[in-house]
Amino acid sequence: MTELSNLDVDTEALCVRASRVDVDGIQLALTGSAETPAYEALMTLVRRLQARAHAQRPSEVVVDLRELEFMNSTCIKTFVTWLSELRDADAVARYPVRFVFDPSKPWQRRTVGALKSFAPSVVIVAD
Amino acid sequence: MSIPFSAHGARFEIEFAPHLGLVTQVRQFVSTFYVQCLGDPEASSRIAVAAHELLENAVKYASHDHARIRILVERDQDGVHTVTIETRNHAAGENLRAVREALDELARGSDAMKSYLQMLERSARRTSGSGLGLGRVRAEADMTLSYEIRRDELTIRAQARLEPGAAK
Repeated sequence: MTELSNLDVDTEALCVRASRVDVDGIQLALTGSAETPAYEALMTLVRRLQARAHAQRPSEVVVDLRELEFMNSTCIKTFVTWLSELRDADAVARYPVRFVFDPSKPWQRRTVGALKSFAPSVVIVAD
Repeated sequence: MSIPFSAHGARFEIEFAPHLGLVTQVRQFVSTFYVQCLGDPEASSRIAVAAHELLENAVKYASHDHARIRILVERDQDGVHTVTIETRNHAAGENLRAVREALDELARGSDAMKSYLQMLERSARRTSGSGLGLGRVRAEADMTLSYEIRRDELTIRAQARLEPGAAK
């Protein structure tokens, strides 16, 4: 068990592993496929992450999608909910969310691009 | 290995009893099949995203034990490919009204990404369902959408032209 293990997700198709980045950043590495059966687990992850960030704001959260085969619109909603709350929060409570995607997976570029347009003040995109 | 194009295009159609597990299987097959046919991962990805979202809607909102998806890629004399994805299912009245409203709203919006961003705003406040699938097909898969409703039977059609050179 690590201090971030309550942010891990293990479903049949989707795995999320949380780890530290730098001193006070958090990385979420997604592997597999994020589809409807994983929705509740992803929402739980978002709620726990927000609670943790409320207690101690991270310097950034990195969402690594490179090993993710696919994400459906149901699971995109979990990120939209999170980014919406973050975008609309007071400046002191905000932290940047950096999406890392695989350029060889075209859907990742388009989905991350839409999320960047949705919440430009908090989303950073990297490939 | 590439799959040669026939004069009739590359067509894929299944009729099925609605089940969510099927959606993943179809997306994976479609993605592999059309990347081999078209030699274009970008186009194949667009088709796979649209097929997934449309098929998932057809499964989730099916009121009968029968639905269908058909995907057709045709090539004209100038080498331009047109992809058509069509789902057909039976649905309850409230779901038919909801899909009609969503598709009519998308048809009124001239800017697909602007419409999708509005849907993202609403989605963040929704307590059930994402309401994003059709907007994603239009904005991310860059496909036009149309529909027909006959009694309780719903047909949704997504179409796009794939630019010359995008496919081999």
